[in-house]
Amino acid sequence: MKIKGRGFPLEYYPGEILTEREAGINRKMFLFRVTGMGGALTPNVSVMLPPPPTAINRIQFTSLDSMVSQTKPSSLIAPVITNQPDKSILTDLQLDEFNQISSKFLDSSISMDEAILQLRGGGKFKDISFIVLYIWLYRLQNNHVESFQPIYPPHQEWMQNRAHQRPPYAGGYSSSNSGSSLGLTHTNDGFNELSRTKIQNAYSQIPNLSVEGTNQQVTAWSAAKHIHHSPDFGMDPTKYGMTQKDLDSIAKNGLISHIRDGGTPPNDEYVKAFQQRWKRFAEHKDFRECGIQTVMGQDCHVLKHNRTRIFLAIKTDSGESFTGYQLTERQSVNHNNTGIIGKNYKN
Amino acid sequence: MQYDKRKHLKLLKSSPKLESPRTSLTDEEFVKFLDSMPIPDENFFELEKYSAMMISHLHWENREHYFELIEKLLNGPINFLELRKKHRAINDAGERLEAELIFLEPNPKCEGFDDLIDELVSLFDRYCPDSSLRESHEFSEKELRDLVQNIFIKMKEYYPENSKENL
Repeated sequence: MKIKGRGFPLEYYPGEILTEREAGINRKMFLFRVTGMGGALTPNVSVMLPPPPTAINRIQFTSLDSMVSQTKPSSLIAPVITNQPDKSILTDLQLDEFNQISSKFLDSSISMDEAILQLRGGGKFKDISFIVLYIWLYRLQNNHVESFQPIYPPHQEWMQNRAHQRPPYAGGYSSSNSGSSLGLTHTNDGFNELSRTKIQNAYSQIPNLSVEGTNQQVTAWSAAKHIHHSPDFGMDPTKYGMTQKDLDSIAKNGLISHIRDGGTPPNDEYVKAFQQRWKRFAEHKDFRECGIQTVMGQDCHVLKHNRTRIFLAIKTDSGESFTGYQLTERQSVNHNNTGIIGKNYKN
Repeated sequence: MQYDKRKHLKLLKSSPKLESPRTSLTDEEFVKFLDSMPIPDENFFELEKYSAMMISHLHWENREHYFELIEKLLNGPINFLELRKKHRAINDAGERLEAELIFLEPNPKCEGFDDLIDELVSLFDRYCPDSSLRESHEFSEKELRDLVQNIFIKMKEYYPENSKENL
């Protein structure tokens, strides 16, 4: 059995056996992470590394503790291998060295080849360490660092109500805004399809609410789109950081254009509350099930509370909520007579 | 249906006083609010028709201002908030008058005016200027302008502004 004695911190080579003392020292292994653009590594914090490229995926990093537990030489019995791809052992010196190299690589001072050469130069990084760092650089090159940073959904900050804050992809930001890093640039032509999708997806992250006893769903997106009708359901926008003026803007411009133009987006709390309000309405015992009717040209299940003239429409094809508001006296009378809400001008 | 003020008053007196939902209710309060409403009967639906007639009269009485606002919208940028606010204010005013048992004898000429103004205002809910964002039931600016124009022509034709011959 070959035992290597080295100074602290120890480097670990696959297949070697360490003494208990060495293992104790080596347990103080360094874990690292990237703390931001520039790839600074800091010790003692563990994060998952992304999977390596397929070509080198076969290489497995071996748990130190599992090696220590082995009592027989590696030449006789293979050590128990456990996948633990989030750990590597680096000395302070190595961390500093790698930070410098990765910084140069990220600001394009050096190429990938040069970075590799520098990593190999002087034998500072060996075997596993080198491979880990190679993968690291490879991923940096391919993913522009983003894979190693905590990636928050773009809507996360502004949707959890930062009243009077703009979403990251609203127009008018300077190039330093995170909106540009998302590849969403505002043009004079207006919002592009991607942006619309992102906004819709942001709200769609809020789960649907099922209407009890039915297969109908109240979606967050439909609630968000029609949030300007929330006062009809007894809701106060000012409780959620919005004003009647904001709701008027949504009514006038539509939700997406309102957000694009820098208007306050309804936060998730507001949208969830409105969803819940629609659900409670749909589950109320006194509404009138009007059957399948036409609402603005769409076939919908219409639930109407006659006394208040409030209705909720659920699309028949998807079973998802469409819209809901309080009808005027005349609209209500007409609806009672014709079963239609809003003419269908499209056909 | 002919308006009958006495019948309207009788129906109002016999029906429970309706309150508009306050705009600051919790879920539980909202459900209680719905619970507090009696199940509608025939009288309720008849009362609703009388109410609609009276409110139609109020809209019709204000048609000149409506026409101004519609012309402004057709000749300028699409900004319908003023029109929508006017529409809502008149509806609210009608409900308040009823709540205080104050009646207005609807002019027979007003019949159907509220249909048109309701139709016009409801169009705005379906306006989507950006074609990339537009859904199948929504209108472009051109479509909206055409529809508003058509409704406006009908309004002007059937409900002319006050003049000596109309007085």
